[in-house]
Amino acid sequence: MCRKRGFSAISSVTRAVKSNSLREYIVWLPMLKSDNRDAAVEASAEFEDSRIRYMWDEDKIIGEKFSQTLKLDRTAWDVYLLYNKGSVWKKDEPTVPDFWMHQLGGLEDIAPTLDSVVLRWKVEEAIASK
Amino acid sequence: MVFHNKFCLLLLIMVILSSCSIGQKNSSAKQSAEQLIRFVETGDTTLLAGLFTDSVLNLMTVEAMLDTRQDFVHSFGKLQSVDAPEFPTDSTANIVLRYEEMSLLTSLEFDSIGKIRFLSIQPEPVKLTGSESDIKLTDISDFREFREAFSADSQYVRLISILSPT
Repeated sequence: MCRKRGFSAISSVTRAVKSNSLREYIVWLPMLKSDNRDAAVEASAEFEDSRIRYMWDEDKIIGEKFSQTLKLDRTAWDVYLLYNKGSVWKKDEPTVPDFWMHQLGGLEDIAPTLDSVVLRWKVEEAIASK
Repeated sequence: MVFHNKFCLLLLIMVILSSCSIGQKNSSAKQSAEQLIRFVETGDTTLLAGLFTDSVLNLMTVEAMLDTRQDFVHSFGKLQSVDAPEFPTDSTANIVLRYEEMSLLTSLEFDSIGKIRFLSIQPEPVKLTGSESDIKLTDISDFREFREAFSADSQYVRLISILSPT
């Protein structure tokens, strides 16, 4: 459910945004019993774009780092994090994204729920900004 | 729209020489590809006419090619890089032109003496499906790797999605 909707939304945003000024990282985490590296390979094969890098985070390192950054009470997953040009992480943890969305319950007051139309608009806005 | 018209014209440059036997990949084809890249990068038309067969030149003049080059820059921004040509077969080559706002896949076919007899330019295709062996899946073992990858792309807008694969 999560991957299908979230991945489908991200794929549609990527198809719609043709700009070469975009780079994407899709980080797979083992959150469900059925999750493993083979499943990540299979999922990655469903949509290929030269601007996307797929990653497998066996130990949920990225999920835990973003949990701290976003001040969540759980591993960060089903989250979509947008950074403008020029953003760098100087310390050993990521900075707060310029914009982010999620599909997690109970976070509606913190950040908007995933909407591919809004996310596309935000991505294009970031690309257009100098 | 200027680009649209030029794009259609480029797609029309398809000269099929069914009776022509294709020679082995030779240095002439490679030189033609490299000189075409030089034209794209610099606008130097000195050797351009010699790269194409007469059939292609009858459909698109050197002046029209120069106009098209300028239209691409106007439409897609500055040329950032050109990938090294790939030769899928002895008589074909693919070259990816990376502009600020769009990557274009240039497909070439060569005749037996290495002249370009077919040329098409289209947006670099997004593969909706791919074989698993084609997909690179990077294993993350520490945050530093991810941070370095993120920082290396700092000139781009970046979108990170964290998902379960099933």
